[in-house]
Amino acid sequence: MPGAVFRRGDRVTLRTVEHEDAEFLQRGHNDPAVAVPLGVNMPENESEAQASIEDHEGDNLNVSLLVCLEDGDDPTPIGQVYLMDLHHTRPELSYWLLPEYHGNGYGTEATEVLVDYAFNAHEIRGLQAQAFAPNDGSVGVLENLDFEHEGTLRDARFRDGEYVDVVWYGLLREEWDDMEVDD
Amino acid sequence: MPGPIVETAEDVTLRTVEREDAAFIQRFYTDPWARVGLHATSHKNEAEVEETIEEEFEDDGNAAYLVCVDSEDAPYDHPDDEDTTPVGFVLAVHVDRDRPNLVHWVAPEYRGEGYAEAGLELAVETIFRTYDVHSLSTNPVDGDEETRQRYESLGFVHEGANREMEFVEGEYRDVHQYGLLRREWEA
Repeated sequence: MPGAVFRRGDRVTLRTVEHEDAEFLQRGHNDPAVAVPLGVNMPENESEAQASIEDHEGDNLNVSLLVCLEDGDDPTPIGQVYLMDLHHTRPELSYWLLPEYHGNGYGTEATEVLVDYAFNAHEIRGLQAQAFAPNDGSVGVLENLDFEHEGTLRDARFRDGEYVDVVWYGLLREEWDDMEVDD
Repeated sequence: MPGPIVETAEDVTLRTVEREDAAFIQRFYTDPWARVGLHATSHKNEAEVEETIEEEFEDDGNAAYLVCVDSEDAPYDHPDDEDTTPVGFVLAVHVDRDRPNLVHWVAPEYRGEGYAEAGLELAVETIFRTYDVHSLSTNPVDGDEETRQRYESLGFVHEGANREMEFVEGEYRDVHQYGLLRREWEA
């Protein structure tokens, strides 16, 4: 069961990852519909999932949160968002949702909540994200949030049987400020 | 003092980086443009650099080469002081993955002699021959035009620029993304 609510969107919450969420994360990290677009190419057992949760505890440079729906007595975890390398000028973000929750705008909403948190809470210059070129869902989230396409690394990663391009996106603080004003 | 020869070209050799080369490599960490390539934002002392050699340069997933100018009868084996002069180094990070990243540096007093070009070209050739990598990448900082031109003259293609990615010499600067595919190198 996910822990306390850390940030809240209209339909989703971002909650802390607890030890008993290992089974949920393990499901995401092993499902090819999630893992392949994310670049995860090894199986993960429950004790590895547990260890990675524990590794994050006390880690001040990386943030990991569960994306949840609040549709019953208990929250339902549907995915995960991360912020990596908060000591960098432009930390990197990443996200995934279980396949049955794709197509409802939950990814965009959860990522927007994470982006707001990142700029509000940390003195960062900008954010970045990368995706494999055929991953339309992931790129769609970034474009919905006005991330700018900054480059395409040709044939840069091997996944799903072939070399694919990696696309890089970035959002600078003033672009995020403008977006806030537009809202 | 550098170790034995790994590769040779007309003007330079690539020799192994030894722990006693820490004092030379340390000078790379006083170069604000170059050290960004290894995500270092500040200088290091010699003990820190020795540790970096042990942890990064000696890692089996990375390949490190000291670019040296040898005297005429320098041995392939361990050289003496008068046999060779280290002028720079090339480090390829993650030769065990799809796309290793290159960092190179030449000490200021040896610049303008073509050693950087020769050392880099020899290292690229060596890496494509030694490791089954599909491509190479490198990320020079905007403002370091010499480095960018050096990669471009070897055929690296500009693939993008991450805006204001690093804080170098008082300003947020773009970091350029360059890639070179094996088939482009072999063509």
